[in-house]
Amino acid sequence: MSPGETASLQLPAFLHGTSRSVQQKVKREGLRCAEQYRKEGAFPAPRQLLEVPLGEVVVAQGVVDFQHEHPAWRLYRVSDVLREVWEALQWEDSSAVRDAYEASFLETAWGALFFTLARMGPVSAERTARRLEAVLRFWDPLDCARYLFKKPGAAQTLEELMVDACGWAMDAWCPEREGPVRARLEGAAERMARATREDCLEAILRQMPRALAAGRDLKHRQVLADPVFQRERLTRLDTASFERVSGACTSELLEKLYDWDQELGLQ
Amino acid sequence: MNAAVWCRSMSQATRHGALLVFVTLLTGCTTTSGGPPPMWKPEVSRFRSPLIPASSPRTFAAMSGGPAVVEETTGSAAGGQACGSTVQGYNVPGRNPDSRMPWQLFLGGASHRLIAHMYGVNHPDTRAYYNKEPIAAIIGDTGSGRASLLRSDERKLCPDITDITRRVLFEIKPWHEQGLLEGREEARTYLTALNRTILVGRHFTGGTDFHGEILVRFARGQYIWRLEWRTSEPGVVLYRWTRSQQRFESEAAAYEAGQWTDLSVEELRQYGGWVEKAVEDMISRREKLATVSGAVGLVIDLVGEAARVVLWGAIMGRMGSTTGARQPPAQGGGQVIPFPARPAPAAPPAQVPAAANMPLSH
Repeated sequence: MSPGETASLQLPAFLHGTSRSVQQKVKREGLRCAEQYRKEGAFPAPRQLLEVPLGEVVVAQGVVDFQHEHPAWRLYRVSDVLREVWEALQWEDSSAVRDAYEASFLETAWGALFFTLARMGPVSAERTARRLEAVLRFWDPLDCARYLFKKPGAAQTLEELMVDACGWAMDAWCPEREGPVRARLEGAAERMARATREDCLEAILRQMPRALAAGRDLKHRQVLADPVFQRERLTRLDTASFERVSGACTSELLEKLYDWDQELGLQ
Repeated sequence: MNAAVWCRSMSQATRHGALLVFVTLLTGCTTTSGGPPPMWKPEVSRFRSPLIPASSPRTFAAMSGGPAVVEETTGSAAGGQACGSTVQGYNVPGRNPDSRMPWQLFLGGASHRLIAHMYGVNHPDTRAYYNKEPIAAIIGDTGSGRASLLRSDERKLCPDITDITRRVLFEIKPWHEQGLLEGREEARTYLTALNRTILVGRHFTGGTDFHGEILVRFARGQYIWRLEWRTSEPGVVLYRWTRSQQRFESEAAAYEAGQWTDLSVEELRQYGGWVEKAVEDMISRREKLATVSGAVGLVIDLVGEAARVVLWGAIMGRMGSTTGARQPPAQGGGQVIPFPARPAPAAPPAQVPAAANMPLSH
């Protein structure tokens, strides 16, 4: 499917059914993907796509999937396909395999949404920008469905879903709180895509108070809260480490705060 | 819980026999509180259900693991085969009315879900995995380490709570000596595996300081049920279900009285399914729970007249030290009620011989 080709949302057939049947189908799909990846270094497209009826609910996160016996669209099970691929490939180069899988399916509506919600791998500014751009490309078809994300009984619109799942990105990269969600996401994605290291640094420092507030058991809070300390530590990060935090995702920043907290304790 | 541990549990069950399996499962639900928790109670075998076949691995997996395992492994057909046609099904709202899942399964699954859920409520900004996510997939997802360094028998291990951000894990077990021993062994196994993948940076340790209790009131039963959990040692969380000794007008009165006693089989049979339903509904209110940080106690209406859940302030450390209540949520019938702060709990269970091998904490 190419962007804009259809206004309806289509999902792979292996994502629809009872939990048990989806489990079996994604396992088969994972094995099929692994086999082709091993042979050709590329992943095959799903054999069959099914159109999601307008307004139908898609389960976007496993934590809200309680009614396993009921047939449903289970988008979150894409992760099980990848798990099967990893398993079949003996977990060798799992990061590279994950990135290749994402690159293959970020050009689909379902892949764009899945990888944006799952936040696999380092949540860098560059990677997050790609994910958000992909969702924005498929906004119209994705907007045809409703999503279960955090509340089992309350399906959300795409807009509500994105606020729930990517609010941190908008806060960090598009702090102006006015305007529709779609426009704010576009602004955030655009800024993240062309962000320099200094831009990322500024976004991170903007979000640090939020991360700090979440780390209630941090032992050296006063030192960690100092922007001078934060900037100095961030500046010292190597490229790979900085990439992990460059998107200014709260959980990634919090992880870094715990790193520094431990280092301070050892000094 | 996970496939690998499940298998190990199966072999243990085979060795010790079905009785041990079932005792292990139910003592988490049927301990007596007030004094020191009992460690090992062979007499609890009175709770063994004739409905459960000997060494039913599905039952064990479900009680000691998450609910997803329950439904994936039992399903309606498998559950029916495993438990026979006399097993009572529950027509609980939100569940398949044809479900034949035995009543025992509800509480074990519900306990894991509640406790894991409350961890998430307490740490909303950390990246954590619960109950059925294999270690290899966690490492693969997050890129926190190198999954290929795991041994093949370690890849499918699933800690009950794995917090990538804080680098801690917890194993949830019933509140008795056997639970502690198993939890300790499994936590150590998980830590060894996880830390093998970490080449640079912080290693995982056993989590600490996670405790709480949840009170459930049944309008039909009048009694107040209590799920209580404590971190008994780094990485091991033990839980138990008890109920108030007498009927009370309110959860607050029951709590004030502080007298908790065993649950009978009949009570488990009658209300266990409602607990599972209560858990579902409570979890669906995750966001509201996460935003009531100023409250000391919280009551949520769950299924109309059927049940209510009281979340005690001590569940969340940040709630326990504050006073005053917020206004009830506008929707869903929930309301916040004030409770006094509760002192930090004494360390529960067990003087269990210290195990060798690696420590669970630094």
